[in-house]
Amino acid sequence: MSFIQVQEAGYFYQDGDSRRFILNNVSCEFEKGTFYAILGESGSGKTTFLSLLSALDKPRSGAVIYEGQNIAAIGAENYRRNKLGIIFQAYNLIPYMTAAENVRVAMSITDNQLPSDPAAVAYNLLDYIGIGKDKADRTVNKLSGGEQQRVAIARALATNVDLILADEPTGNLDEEMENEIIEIFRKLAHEHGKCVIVVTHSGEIAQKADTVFKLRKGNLEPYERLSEPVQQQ
Amino acid sequence: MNFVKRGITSVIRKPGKTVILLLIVFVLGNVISFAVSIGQAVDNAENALRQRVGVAAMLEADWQTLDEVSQSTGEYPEPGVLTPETMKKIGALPYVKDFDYTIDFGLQSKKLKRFYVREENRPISEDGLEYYNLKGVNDPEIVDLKENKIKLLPGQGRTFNKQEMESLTYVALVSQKLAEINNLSVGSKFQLDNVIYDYSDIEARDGMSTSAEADGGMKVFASQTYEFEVIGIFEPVEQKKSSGNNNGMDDEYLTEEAQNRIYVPASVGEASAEYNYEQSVKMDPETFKDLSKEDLRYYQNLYILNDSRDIEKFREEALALAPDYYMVTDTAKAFDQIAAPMKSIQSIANIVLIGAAAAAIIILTLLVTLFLRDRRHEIGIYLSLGERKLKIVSQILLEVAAIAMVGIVLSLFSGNLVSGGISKTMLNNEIVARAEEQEEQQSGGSFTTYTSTLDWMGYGNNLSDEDLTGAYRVSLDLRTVLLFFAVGIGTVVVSTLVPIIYVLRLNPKKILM
Ligand SMILES: Nc1ncnc2c1ncn2[C@@H]1O[C@H](COP(=O)(O)OP(=O)(O)OP(=O)(O)O)[C@@H](O)[C@H]1O
Ligand SMILES: [Mg+2]
Repeated sequence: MSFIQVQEAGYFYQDGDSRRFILNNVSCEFEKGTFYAILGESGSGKTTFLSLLSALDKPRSGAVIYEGQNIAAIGAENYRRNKLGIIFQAYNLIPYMTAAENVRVAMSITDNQLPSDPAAVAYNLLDYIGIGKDKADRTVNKLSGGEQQRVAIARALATNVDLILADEPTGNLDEEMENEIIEIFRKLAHEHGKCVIVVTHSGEIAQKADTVFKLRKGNLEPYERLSEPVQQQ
Repeated sequence: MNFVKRGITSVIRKPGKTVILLLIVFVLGNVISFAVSIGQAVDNAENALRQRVGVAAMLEADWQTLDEVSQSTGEYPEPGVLTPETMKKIGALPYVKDFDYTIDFGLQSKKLKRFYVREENRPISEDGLEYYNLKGVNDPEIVDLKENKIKLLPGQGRTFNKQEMESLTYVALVSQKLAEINNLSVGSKFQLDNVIYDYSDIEARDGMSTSAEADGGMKVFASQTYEFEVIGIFEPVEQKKSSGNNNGMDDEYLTEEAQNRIYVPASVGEASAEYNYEQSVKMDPETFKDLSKEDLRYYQNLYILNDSRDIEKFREEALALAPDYYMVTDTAKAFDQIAAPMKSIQSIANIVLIGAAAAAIIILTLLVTLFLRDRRHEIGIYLSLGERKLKIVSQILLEVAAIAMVGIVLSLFSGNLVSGGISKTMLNNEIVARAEEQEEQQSGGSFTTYTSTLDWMGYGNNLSDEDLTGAYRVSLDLRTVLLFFAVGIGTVVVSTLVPIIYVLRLNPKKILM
């Protein structure tokens, strides 16, 4: 049994009387310990697909199955609270809170068992992601884009979930920063056994992911890369 | 960072919004506190005053209706007789604290000197004949005494005992003034005459004449002298102002009426009425043959209610028991008249309260919704993290409530403080305005002077405008505080309803993706 199974998921946007079909009975599977990239042109439906995986929206037909259980049955709120962490292109941090506080917001919301000292956990996590103590205590609107995205990653990890979803996480970052973030994702998949699914335009990410799909005309197709991913030591 | 800590963080880290909300709640809270304080002060004053006045009521023939009926039908209807049985039945109504039906009758004397406030009030009379109203009470303890309309002077006697009530005994309570003038003290005796005049030749005389002038010319048909023993000396408690509007003229008569009233057991009145009846039948059998001796007894009824708010229920039930063409007059009206300035302040306060609460709901709803629109991104984040909507709503309620609570508490004190001074001035202005209005009406001739039977009985208004202003005091009592918090918190809660619906309808996908 796969970690995540997408079964014949269909999706359309209702625009007045007309329906704009985005996903045509998409079926695919995702496993833990793997770093996935989903490529697609702008407007191809990448964000829409991620919204179904993250239960921020429901498929019009078909289902998303998490460890054998339909996420509709788990309950969207419950699923988001306890099963996944999500990273947005626009970071989506709470601007008047510090980095550490942003991480701790997620920790206080989840029902998952967490270590007893949440402050220490938050600082350690941020440190691991590359945000030192001084930056951790800064309100996030005083951090750079790359730093903010790291905070968002730390927040996604803080709830001790196995599924990490990211929508264009490096869209606003320069190449160097992008590479560092990609490296974090690889580590999360390979060292921490998480299932990391990143939706992107970026060829760089596609290059380093374990498995790549391409979203085209409502279908998710395997993507043939020119070369095998570069294996880091 | 649970929702409580989040709320606190938000309130502290966004001081601009906190201060705006606080200021608005404070300003509106002041208006509400102002209005609630006045409303409560009026209620408190009303309760205190009502307790002090109590309410007295009586049934009497409704002459106005009788006149109207007679004018439209051409026949003057006969009002039924209010019998002692009916009066007792009415006295058994649950609203009645105390009651009596007294037999009121008149006797005269050439020896006993009446009390007059001013010498000019004394009628010109050659033979010094004076008339007295006697009150034959059925309640030996005397309702007037229990109701504090008269005071028994300390060490100066007692009320009637059982034996005096049951067997015909000529004992009396007289006022201190009457006692002074006539050198009476407890144990002294005085005499009064029951005189039946022969009026069979009165038609022969030219026109009507006042009794004082007629005495000389009128022939005595029969007479009886009763010797009373003084068993107690009382002092009438001063009435402040009769309920009717007058220029102090009636007030003097009311004082004289009270000072010259003599209390006796009801049996004395009955005996006197019986003598009248017997002699009248002898004198004019034609007129009196259809009448019984009971018909010559004139009863005065008086009911003291537990609570003046019961007056309408009492009126309804008493009239149902009474014969046709009776009405209930009461002192509640007098109270209403004196309390009117206060009541008008209260109705202004009520309008202000409703207006301020409505304005507060609208303003706070808009303000909180506006603030939340600004925070939709933040709320979207909580939703995307799977936060329960109940907790998000709780956080918002907590933030608004915490800020509002500070504003409410501050405004409770300041609004209350301010309302004390302002409403006193409003009340005084209102009293002056009303007095002027009455004066105008009087000089315009549209206001009729009238003194009610209850005034004559000593149950007139004993409240003055000073009593009103004295009883009116804005304070921060428990009821005021509770009512203010109820209104304040209620307003805040209602004001968050729309914002909460707004939050519940937010879609995190649309906000964040
Ligand atoms: N709420 C909506 N109503 C109608 N159409 C929508 C709505 N949201 C998105 N779309 C349309 O659906 C299509 C897919 O949108 P989606 O955001 O999933 O694309 P995307 O692949 O993430 O694009 P990008 O790379 O630009 O982020 C687009 O053509 C978009 O215009
Ligand atoms: Mg997108």
